[in-house]
Amino acid sequence: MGSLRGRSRILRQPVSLASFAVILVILLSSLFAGFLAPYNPAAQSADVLLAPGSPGHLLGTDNLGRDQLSRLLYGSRPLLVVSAFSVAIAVIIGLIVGLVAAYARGVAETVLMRTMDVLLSFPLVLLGIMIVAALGAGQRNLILAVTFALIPIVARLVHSLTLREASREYVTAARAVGMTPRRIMFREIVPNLIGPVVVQATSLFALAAGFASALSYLGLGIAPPASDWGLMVKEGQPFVGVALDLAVVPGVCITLLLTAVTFIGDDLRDFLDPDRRLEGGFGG
Amino acid sequence: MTGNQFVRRLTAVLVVVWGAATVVFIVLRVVPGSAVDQISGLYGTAEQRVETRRQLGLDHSIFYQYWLYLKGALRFDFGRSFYSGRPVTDILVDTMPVTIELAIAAGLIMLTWGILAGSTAAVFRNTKVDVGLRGLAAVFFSIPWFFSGVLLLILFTSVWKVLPGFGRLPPTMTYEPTTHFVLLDAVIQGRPELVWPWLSHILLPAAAIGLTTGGYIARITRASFLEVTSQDYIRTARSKGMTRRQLFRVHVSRNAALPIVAVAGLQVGALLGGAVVAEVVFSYPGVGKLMVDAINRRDYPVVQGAAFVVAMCYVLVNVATESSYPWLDPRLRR
Repeated sequence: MGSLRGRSRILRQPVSLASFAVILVILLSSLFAGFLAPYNPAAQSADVLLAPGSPGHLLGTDNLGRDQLSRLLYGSRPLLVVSAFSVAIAVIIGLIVGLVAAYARGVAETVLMRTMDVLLSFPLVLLGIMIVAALGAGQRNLILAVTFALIPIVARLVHSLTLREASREYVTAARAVGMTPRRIMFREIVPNLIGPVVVQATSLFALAAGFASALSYLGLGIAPPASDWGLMVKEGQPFVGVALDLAVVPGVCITLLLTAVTFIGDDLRDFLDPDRRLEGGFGG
Repeated sequence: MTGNQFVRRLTAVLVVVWGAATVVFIVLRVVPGSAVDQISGLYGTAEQRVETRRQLGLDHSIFYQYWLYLKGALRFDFGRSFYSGRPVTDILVDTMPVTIELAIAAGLIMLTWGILAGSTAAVFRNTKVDVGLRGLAAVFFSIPWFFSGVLLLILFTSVWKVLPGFGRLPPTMTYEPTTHFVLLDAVIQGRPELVWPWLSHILLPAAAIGLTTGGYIARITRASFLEVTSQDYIRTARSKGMTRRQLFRVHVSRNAALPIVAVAGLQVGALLGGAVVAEVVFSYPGVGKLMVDAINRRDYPVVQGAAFVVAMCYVLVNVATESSYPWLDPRLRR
């Protein structure tokens, strides 16, 4: 009953539809950037510096004469790649850590979960900055930094959910018919965790994308000359007096993406996991 | 809190503090095997490399390094900056209060706008006001900190030119720190002329963080208010003739406060992290700007000391938040 209403509601809500559309447009434009972009995003041309929009360069050019539209189209790629990879890896590792901790109990549980608490005792940005300081900037290290920041969030959720599920009747029943603990864990409990974990992963995606673009903005993420929305805001900032859009348009793109993902996350939460609408915080 | 509980609590805090210190050590000391390469460069001579290793303390065994590090951290001694030669502790004493000040200012903005917007939305639930405020909160919450900073910077310093965009105080102003907190010093030193320049500089970076993080507080406040007002005891109290005002003061605000405090406590990480980012946007001379600059200069002692101090701050605030739960909810006072 609830699920049916939920499904039709998602499709009918204008906000949800708009969010889907935004995500779709960003995904497609980054996938097909090679076809859509009129120029090579890294190609500089000295005779059109900081030019306003014109038929030749629809959105104008930046201070190095690079085509802004082409850079925008390519600029979502690092963000999407970093967020997708780090969320995927963090969910897998966090799932394993949370399950093992809840499954093993005792010393292993204490050590694992205290370690997660310690990682959570860092502001996410600080953890990221430290990892980048140690390993250097670049896309791979950015993925590592974001993943590390997300793992404890997933592990804590999975741990508490597993403990909750483990006390339910169906688990007692499974134990009574002689299923091994491992089988109970993967066949009975894990399928029940998928809903909340998917919801969590959606909000983590927004968190990861915001976080990755912030590190790029700080000069600790994606390195020039690559096109990246966070980096583009940083590069455009000195020129806001001359060409306001250089910094503002990529920033608005990031905000649109994050807003859309957050709205979809809310819908998913209402749909998949109606009891937990209040929970699930962002620890910065 | 009984004595026994206090001891257990203190132990837990010390374990987290020790763990956080260890994470800083592992990430910044064990992982960068290449630190020597980065500092002495590719063309450094063998002697230079040995000297750099010695300076970094990398010539000792890793366990001895860890021991030295913990001993130093206990005394807040992180060595000297490679870049300026000043003791890292002195640098942190100068910069950490700047960040704390900024985080507090941002927190005030976050709570004010978050709680006002959230409770207003709850009172006018399912009206246009509610929908508008919820949309605004969601969008604000989704703006990355650096971009909210850039937007405010553009609006208030280049479009309207009403507020300064860089630094903590005008460079022409002399300021001899006593406590390193400008507002306190203005009182102690009797210099009211410091207040407005300081406020005008802190307003934009604080708003950049406070408005965005406040979006989340607004969501939690609304949900928490609706949750409480749907409880049976509220209906009972109402039917017994309590006015809405009394009801709000006695029942609703107290019961709705716990989740808000819990979330606000979690947001302290966001406030500190946001301060780090905003400091870079606004060239605000706090610990975040210090760290990012130090990373670019390969000034590892500074990075390490700064990371340690920020993490400790966060841990302590979390402890303080958790300690306030029993005060807000007597059921937790067992």
